[in-house]
Amino acid sequence: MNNPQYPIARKNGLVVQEVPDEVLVYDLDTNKAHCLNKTAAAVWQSCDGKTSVPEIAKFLSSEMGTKVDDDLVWLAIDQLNESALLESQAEPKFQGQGRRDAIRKIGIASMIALPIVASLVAPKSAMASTSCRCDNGQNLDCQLQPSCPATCNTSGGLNLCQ
Amino acid sequence: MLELGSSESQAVSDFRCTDGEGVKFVFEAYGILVGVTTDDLELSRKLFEISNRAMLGKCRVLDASNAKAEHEFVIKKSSGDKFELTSVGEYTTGSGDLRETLELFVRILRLKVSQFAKNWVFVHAGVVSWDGKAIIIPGNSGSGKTTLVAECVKQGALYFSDEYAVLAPDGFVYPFARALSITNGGRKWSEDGIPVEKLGGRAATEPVEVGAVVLTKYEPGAAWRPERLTPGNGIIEVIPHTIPMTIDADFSLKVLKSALSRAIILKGVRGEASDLAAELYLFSYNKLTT
Repeated sequence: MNNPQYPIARKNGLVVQEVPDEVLVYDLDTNKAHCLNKTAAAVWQSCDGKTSVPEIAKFLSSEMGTKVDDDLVWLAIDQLNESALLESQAEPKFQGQGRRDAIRKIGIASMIALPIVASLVAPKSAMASTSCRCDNGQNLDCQLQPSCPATCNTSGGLNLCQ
Repeated sequence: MLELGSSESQAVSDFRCTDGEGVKFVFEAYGILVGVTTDDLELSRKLFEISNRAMLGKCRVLDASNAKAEHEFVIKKSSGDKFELTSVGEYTTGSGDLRETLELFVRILRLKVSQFAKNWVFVHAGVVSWDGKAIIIPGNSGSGKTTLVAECVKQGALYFSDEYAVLAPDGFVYPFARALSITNGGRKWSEDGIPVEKLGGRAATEPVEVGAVVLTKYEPGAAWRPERLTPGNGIIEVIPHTIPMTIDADFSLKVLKSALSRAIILKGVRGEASDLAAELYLFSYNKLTT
């Protein structure tokens, strides 16, 4: 983000689907799938580059009917930043023990759920989700798994592409 | 052993001889057009039969002179009784005997269809249903999903697939009820499976709604104490098993949302497959049926 006080949500290279109380984001560049909970999604959708962190907190406060602290927004922004869901990277506000302390402090004070961005990597190809096993003892089992070595090692009943 | 039926041969009337290059046929399965060229008419017929069987009778022969195949295969004799398989524009495999070559062809065909099927999303998963609600069990090859599916069938579940959950934009899961890939004493490959009827079960013929997704892996002695995931967290766990995800993420994600956003998504380690099958049977009748 050019100015970390005015974060911008990334738009390009993402596929977005909303499900009840969550937003799913698939990153076409990294094949990563992210699930933003309601709080993280609300922060992300507010990151337009024109709204400051305190303004986002204020907006969320009115939307959710309870006071939202700036630090809660920063927690969301740190995670969105780590997940490459913002336009440019910045130093996280909270790290290590500082983040754990912040989560504890905000968690106690906040009436809304803490922001969570859960992420998983999808395999680059359909066959990447296979196991590199060659149960038939044949090299062709391996050749059909492009992410695996091409030769089937059957010694000792191993039956693995190596 | 691979056994070839003959009934499909009757349907084959549009195979074309291409000057000096053998015989070509084109068929459609799950919306994609596949072309196969061989140097032998009999082999062509055989290839169509096993293609149609691999696609559970869903192959439709097209006029090869008009239809433009999106995926082309060439299978021809290389030397003696050896054959060579080329996936045009991609690679040529080493020589193998006819059985090995046909096996390879079927596997690549399945892969192509599962990746590029139009208006369908294939997910690596076992699928069964009780009382009109499907349970999807995603898993990689070798993760034990066939074993679990077989145990569910023995508990009275209707069989959909031990390989793919075939999802459509309407949010339903459709049967892909191939013979179960259970080793039966001998060499195992995809066409050597056991028909579900031999397990005392029945194959589904109609699509159903997805009632639950079970994300699990085997741990000896483990008890089934799953956590329930939110729909979003459940869907991202299914994404790594969603075959066309990296080819058409937009469509895949829409279909996953449509199929899974109302499902109960459970995650946890399991012990023996028979124990979990019994749990799923009870769960299904207690939680999924109305």
